[in-house]
Amino acid sequence: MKKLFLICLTFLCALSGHSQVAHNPWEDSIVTVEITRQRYDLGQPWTRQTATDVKNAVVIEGKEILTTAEFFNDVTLIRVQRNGRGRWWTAKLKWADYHANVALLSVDEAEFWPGLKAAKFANNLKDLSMVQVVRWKNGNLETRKGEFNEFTVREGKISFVPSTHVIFSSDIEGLGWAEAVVSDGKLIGLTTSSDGRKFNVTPVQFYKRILEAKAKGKFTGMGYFAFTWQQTLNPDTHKFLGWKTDPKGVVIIDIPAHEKKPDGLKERDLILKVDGFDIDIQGDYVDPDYGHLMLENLSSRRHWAGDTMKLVVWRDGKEVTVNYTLPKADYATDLIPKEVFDREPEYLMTGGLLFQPLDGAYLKRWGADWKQRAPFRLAYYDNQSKSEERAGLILLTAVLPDPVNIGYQDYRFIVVDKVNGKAISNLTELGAALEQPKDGFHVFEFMEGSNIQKIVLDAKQAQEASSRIRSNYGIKGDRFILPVKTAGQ
Amino acid sequence: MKRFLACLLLGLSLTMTASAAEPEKSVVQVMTFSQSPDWIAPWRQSQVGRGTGTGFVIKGKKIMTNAHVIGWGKQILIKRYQDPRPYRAKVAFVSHECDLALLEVEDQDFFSGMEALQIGDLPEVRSTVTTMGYPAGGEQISFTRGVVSRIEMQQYVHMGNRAFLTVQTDAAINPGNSGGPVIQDDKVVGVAFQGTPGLENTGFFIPPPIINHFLKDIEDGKYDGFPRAGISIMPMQNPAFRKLLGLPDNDVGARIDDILAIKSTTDVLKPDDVLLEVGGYRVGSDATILYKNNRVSLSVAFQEPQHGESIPVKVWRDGKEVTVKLPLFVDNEDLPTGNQYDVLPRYYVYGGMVFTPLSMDYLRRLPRAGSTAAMLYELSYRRREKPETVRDEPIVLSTVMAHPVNANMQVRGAVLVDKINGVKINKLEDVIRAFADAKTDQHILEFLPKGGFECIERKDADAANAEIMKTYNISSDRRL
Repeated sequence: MKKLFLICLTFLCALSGHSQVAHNPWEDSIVTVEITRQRYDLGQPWTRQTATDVKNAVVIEGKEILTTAEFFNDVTLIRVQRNGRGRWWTAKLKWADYHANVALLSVDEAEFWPGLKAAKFANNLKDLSMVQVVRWKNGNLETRKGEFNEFTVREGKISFVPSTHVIFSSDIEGLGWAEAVVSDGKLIGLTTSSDGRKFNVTPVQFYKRILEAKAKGKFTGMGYFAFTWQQTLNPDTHKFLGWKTDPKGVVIIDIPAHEKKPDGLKERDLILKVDGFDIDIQGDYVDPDYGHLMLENLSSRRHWAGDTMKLVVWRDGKEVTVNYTLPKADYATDLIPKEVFDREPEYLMTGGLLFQPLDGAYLKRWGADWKQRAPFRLAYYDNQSKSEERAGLILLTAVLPDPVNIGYQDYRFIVVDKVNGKAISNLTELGAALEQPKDGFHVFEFMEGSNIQKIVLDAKQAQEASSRIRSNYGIKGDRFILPVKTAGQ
Repeated sequence: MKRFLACLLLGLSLTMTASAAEPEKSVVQVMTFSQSPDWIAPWRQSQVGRGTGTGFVIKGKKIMTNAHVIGWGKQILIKRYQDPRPYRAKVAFVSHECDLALLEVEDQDFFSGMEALQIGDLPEVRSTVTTMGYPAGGEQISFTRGVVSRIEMQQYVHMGNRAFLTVQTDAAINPGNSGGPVIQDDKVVGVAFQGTPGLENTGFFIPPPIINHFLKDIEDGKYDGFPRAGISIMPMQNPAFRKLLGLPDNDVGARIDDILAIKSTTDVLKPDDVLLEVGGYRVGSDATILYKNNRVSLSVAFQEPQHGESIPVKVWRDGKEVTVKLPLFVDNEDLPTGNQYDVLPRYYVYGGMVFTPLSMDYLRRLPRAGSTAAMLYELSYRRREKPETVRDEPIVLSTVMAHPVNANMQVRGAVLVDKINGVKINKLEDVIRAFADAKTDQHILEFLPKGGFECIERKDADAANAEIMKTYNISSDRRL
């Protein structure tokens, strides 16, 4: 009995000693997220693979979990883990916006929530001297100091929409997966990317505004300025534009055709004010919260897509106020959509000729630096705009060898112009054109300047070869075509 | 593909006999001291470089070598076999496209005792050849022996945008061999010129048909070049396509897929014409011909005529055979897309801004970035895709030499020029005219592709020119 007592005493002492380790309150607010998603092989678009990634998230009010939207596209399973160890709980994606790079998760099982506490949001970012980065790593809460560098405006990791970012540096590696950045017990922001020792953080004020807008049903998507401007550091530019007082403003040099409106902005307008803020010759305004920031930030500072704001410009020797309505950020706006999320890969195969849309997802087959590595002519389409005749591009990506397509086996990466005389912008149009062969032949014409201008298939033989080719190459169906997605849908 | 430089020497006998019993004595070493232009700052040239290659004596007291051996040469010296004396030489004729040059030696004693080598025929595949030259790794003449591995079209890397008939051999061809003869039965059956890094036992030489075309071309005292039809030809092996065009189901015929805007060609040939015979050669359905027992690209047949000559072409058009005569001419529209030689780049300097024609030589010296993509498109794609929008000579603002008059300009170079003072810039002379004819206080420069622009005070720029030229030691504000 005595022996047993001693053992128990020792155990209690040990427990007592353990309990003296300070409890970090962030242990109750930071969770780990495991995401499993479809990872498509665009070389064989009929096949399916999965990928699993792990990132971080923060518990917020209303039993919701806040994280970044990256990796939540084409998701099949989400699980969360508390305390950096133990059981995984199935979670649901309540909402995500890729251009805002924000996602909200929820967990239905009530047992998940006891002990978890909503993170408190910092009211402002005026004192960034004691910032720490916090994340679960190997079952322990890893905490490292972050050193503030600057506020800046840059495009998002998965979007072309610029917004405010805070740049920190730290000796912690591999950041950018929604690690919590905290100070004085409050959330400063979430990391979105890193480059060496530097890492980007989206400030918590951005999340706060977007969540409030969403709760009120007023979030309409991220808006942006569709025009291109240049700085006016050269005083001669002001003289050219007839602006004679203190140098200020930036000049518009390009407006996409679809954004040109009779009462809208015009090229060579000198932008003096945006949403009430003076614009300097570098294109910056003075933000009440962050100081000098690029004017692009004003598209999301207190506005969303569809909002109208006032821009004061100098035009033809006088100030003109223009009401500018923010277009909604949408990958489908571009001729080559930069991202294709939550859409299974489309394809159409006829006579062994495999056709797919030319988009950012396909170009990324050449890697993150596809602009350097992809065939030049394909990559250069990214510099070109949609037109009334061409809303998208369809690519002959491969030829699956078969007797019906002998002579064509080596053709690939060629953009389609017409099929059976019909201009082609998407696979739906291609499918329709194939319904109307010319004198029993399918005639495929490719864009001017392509290595090959024309090939021909026997329409009947191509159809007859279909099952043989599918069987030979393990293809489930001749085609997978989704409804055409246009900007705004 | 890496270019090889080489050289060799020898000499005796002046007689033009049919063959040389000791051909190595007609092989010389060529030393070239060269300066290439700075394509970004075109008034400058590189430091003097020294390269060596090989050459050999042919009839007419000429030395044949590779064009790349003497490219941008300021002084060329020739050394004969076992003769310590260097002889000065100059270029008589050069073809950069087929990488051949003929040199003349001022001192007529040079050829004393040297025997001209005779150009032989295209060697047979699997036959044995001997190369002679002065490759790296020693001072004396070197001999290597190998077999003819294959004969086909290859890109000639000296210009980089031309392909001609080429012979591959497993005889060692190393740096320094360039310009040296490849010998069979005491006759020249090729000129060694390039190799392929990463491939073992593969060297390439220029065969007699190309050498003879060059020699015949210069018989009138000037070099014209190889004509080009400007057509894109595709195999015709798919039964459905053959059926659509009503072609017999056999192995004959290749389809014209596309034609450049060359009037002499578009007047005679049409897209979807199927070439059945070209210059008497029957065209295979894989777009090849049987040429001296070698199946080679059909392009070989179009390269046989001289500039201005015609070639008989039998085509399948609208369901029947038609024979036409296709006049062939040299087409140098694509020169800026390859490596350029002989002529220093054109430029104009105004207000510290340096304008020069867009070229691959220029583009290759820029870091690859978004702005260069627009230039590459302009240089290499626009002509085929939108020929109606092609400029005669796209101009770039190459660089801006800092001076108070231009210090506030944000564009500092590496950008395509669209307009100056509202004048569309089609060639360098337009730049000069646009500045000279300006009436307003400011010059306005507009750039491609996004419409950016810069302004500069006209009087200030005019006044600054002399000082800028002096500061940066530029002897002339233009080379036209």
